[in-house]
Amino acid sequence: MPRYKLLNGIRVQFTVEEEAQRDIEETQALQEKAEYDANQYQRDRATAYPSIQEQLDMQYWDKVNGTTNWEDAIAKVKLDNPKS
Amino acid sequence: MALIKTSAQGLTADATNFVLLNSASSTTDVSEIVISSVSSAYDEYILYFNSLPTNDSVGLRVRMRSSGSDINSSVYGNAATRIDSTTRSIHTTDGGTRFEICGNGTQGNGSDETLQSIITFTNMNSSSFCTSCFWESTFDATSGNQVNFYGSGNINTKATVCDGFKLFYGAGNISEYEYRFYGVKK
Repeated sequence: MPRYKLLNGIRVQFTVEEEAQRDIEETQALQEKAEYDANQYQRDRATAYPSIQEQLDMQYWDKVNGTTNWEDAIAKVKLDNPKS
Repeated sequence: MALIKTSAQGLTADATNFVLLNSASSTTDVSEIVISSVSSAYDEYILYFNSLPTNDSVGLRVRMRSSGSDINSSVYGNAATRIDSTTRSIHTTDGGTRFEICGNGTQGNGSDETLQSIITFTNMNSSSFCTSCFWESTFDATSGNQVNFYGSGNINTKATVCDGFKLFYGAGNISEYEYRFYGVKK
């Protein structure tokens, strides 16, 4: 299927060179998208982690009380958002 | 914005300093929309652009043109904030080959997932300041997730004088579009 562009309002068929350039661009775009999607778990984890203030508070009380709340909270985020 | 006071009742648009340069709309798909040979008679340009991609999960892109050719070199820097119903994220590119309006491939192609954008171009004719692009874009995903993008970017060489641009999606065609392109004098 030939591609077309709208050039100043007029629909014009791509040249052979434009088709080749566009093929390269689309291949690259799909690769970039795949990489972006593969890192989705990182973005999900980033928003799911408790704030730094909350984590520091958890660590303080874990040390005082001998609990593992901070470790458990971090582990849960990682478990809920697995590396793909 | 160029407005002239014509009476005590209010203001009307100045047909000399805020001018519709080009417009089109269609439901026949094209791979890209090119505005070329832009008149240097204006200082700023505003594009109102509505579009729907043929492919799912793609992002709208803008590539500037100079002396009648695409600027394909790695001179683009841009940053956009995505705000949707549940998340906030930042999309940045340094040394890219285009402005990425919607980050990396996030718009759907459902019939109601049309992208509405307002894009302003500044310093296109200037070699004293970098050509810049500022945008706001919005679409409503079929999932019910309202998505907005706010971004800006520069061509990182101020000597580059631009005389056009093209709009395209990372992959696939633009299946529906409507645009109005205005020139604005200071």
